[in-house]
Amino acid sequence: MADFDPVKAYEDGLEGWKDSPRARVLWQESQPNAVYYEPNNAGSSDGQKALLYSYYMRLEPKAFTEVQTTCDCTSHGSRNARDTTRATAILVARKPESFVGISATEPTYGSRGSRGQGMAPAHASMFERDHGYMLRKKVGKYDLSKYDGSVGAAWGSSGVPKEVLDECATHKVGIIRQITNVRDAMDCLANGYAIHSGQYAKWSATPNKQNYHPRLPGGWSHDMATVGYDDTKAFWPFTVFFLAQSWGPWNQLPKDWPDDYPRLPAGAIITRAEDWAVCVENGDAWAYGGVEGFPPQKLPDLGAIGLLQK
Amino acid sequence: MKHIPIAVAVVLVVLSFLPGRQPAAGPVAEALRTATPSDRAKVARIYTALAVITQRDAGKQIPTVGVWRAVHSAELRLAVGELKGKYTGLDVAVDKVLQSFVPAQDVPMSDDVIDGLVAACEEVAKQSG
Repeated sequence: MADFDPVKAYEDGLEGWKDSPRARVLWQESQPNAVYYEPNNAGSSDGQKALLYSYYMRLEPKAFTEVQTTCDCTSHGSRNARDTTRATAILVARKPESFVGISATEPTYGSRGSRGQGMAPAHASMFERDHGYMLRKKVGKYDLSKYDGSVGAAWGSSGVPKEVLDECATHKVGIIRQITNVRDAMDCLANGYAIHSGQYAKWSATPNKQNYHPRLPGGWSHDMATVGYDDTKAFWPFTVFFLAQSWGPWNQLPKDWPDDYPRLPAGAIITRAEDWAVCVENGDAWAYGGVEGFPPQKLPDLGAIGLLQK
Repeated sequence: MKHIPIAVAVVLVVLSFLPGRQPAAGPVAEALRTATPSDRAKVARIYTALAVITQRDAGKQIPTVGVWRAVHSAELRLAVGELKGKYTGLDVAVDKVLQSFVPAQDVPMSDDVIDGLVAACEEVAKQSG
């Protein structure tokens, strides 16, 4: 897997995102309020912006840096949405939690239930709702402290080990909703809920003169997290969405950038709302809210110990 | 966050022109009981500066207590200099005063936490002189 080139693999037709109507029906049948419907939030995103990626990057130096080495984009997309929501809850909603660290992709990808590669986002949602997620760490003989795509790939046939399931069980994603239109997606982001979605679409690696990445004909069967939007029309004269990639620095970001906006992570895609619409039109866009986080971590001290002594 | 040490240094220079104060009683005053006036003033300036920065930042660049701890440590590494190790128990005394205002838990910088850390730094400064 070391020579896995995600750009080439997806260009060549790799199916990281599995389009599974059956999985979506299973989801809908297993949960009340499966589809996002929040009239109280309707319109709250108009003329606003939400740069949720910046919160994740402030709390986690490794945010958006893991580069997928197999077809596990769905678990990268869901993790990026999950961690972004978690960081936003701490920094914006002042949820009294510690971020602690980046969470793992392997349990989610390992739960897909088959030896084959690729994953339906609905399966990821059901796993994270029912079994939860875990931080990057060692659990017994399983070392998930660093990303290893082969681990989750191998668990597809054998299942996620019980020790790992037990570790995941204490932290679940409490609120996951399917998003069916662009306006609802904006409202979710404006209220701190990051999104991930699987779709057949592709974007240029080079931004155009209007400082966004245009969509191209054809597509990648790919899952990515949507970690922000801008409807202020102050810099872009139209609504844009920000997609976080799991391919590393595969593209170019625009040289022109609003002075007061935190920089996007490497590999991110800036897309017009009209182009982003494919992410909901393909039926597999999922907003993550209510992520069970971690209680405040005890710090060893408040920073003076050892620094005033020889 | 990378500009914070520079901002702290600027505030330290400005504060060096302010008149001194009588030290209050407490663990830091006790640890500094043999300190020279200039050393007392130096410790006081460090913590007055940190109080100012904490208050002005208001949780923007220092979003959590964990990050504040790192900023505090970075400030000490940059500012303490020859004072390091001169007064036994000063680090423990400072931490004791700080934790009497804010527990050492990595939580977001809410208004209460910011107020607590500002008051804690000002108390260390007061006890330093």
